[in-house]
Amino acid sequence: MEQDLAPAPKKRLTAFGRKARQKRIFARLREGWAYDEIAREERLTAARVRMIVSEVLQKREVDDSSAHALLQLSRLAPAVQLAASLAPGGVLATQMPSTARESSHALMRMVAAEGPWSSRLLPVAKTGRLSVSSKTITAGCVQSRRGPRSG
Amino acid sequence: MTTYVHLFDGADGIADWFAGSALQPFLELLSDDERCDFLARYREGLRDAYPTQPDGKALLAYPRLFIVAIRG
Repeated sequence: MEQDLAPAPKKRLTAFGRKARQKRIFARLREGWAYDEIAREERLTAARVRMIVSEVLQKREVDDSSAHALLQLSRLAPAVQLAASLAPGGVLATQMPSTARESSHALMRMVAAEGPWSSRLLPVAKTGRLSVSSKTITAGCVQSRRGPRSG
Repeated sequence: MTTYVHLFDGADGIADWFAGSALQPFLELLSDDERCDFLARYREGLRDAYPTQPDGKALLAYPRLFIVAIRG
């Protein structure tokens, strides 16, 4: 995890530094981070992060929107796997908590990051959301066959 | 996306609810003492974010995302 930390701010990046930053940004996107969260970690504006992503996609000489769509789809991999297991005409209905932006969950990450335990808990605070959501998708799917879920 | 509002007995009730779910990945990495300290800090923050209503209850907004996929 250590090598993923952002470099010191306001320092002009070398070509190598820029490449490393691109790699971090794309890794974060695949983990499900939002642009503004990545921006905060990289000490950039969200608009700048968007620009970097767009530039990288353009340089690969692929259609921007489809590459971006693929990136978004990769974040939904567990759900796509479930959908693929359906029989033709089958319907999959599921739900998942969408709590990452709620104060309750922001506060968990804050307490984790600010306490004496931060070195142990920070990796959980940063990756927890994705692993929780993929588990929840599966749980929601099983639940949808058995009836509504209470909480 | 539908936001449900759950009713709890104050912010401490919210903390207890999450202690059994979303807080687990954090709590399981802590010693018993640290766990108490972590929960105390979490409760304190919750009290600011979810003020107690005149009847002693606290309201927690809990958004859920619903997805329906149909295989063609």
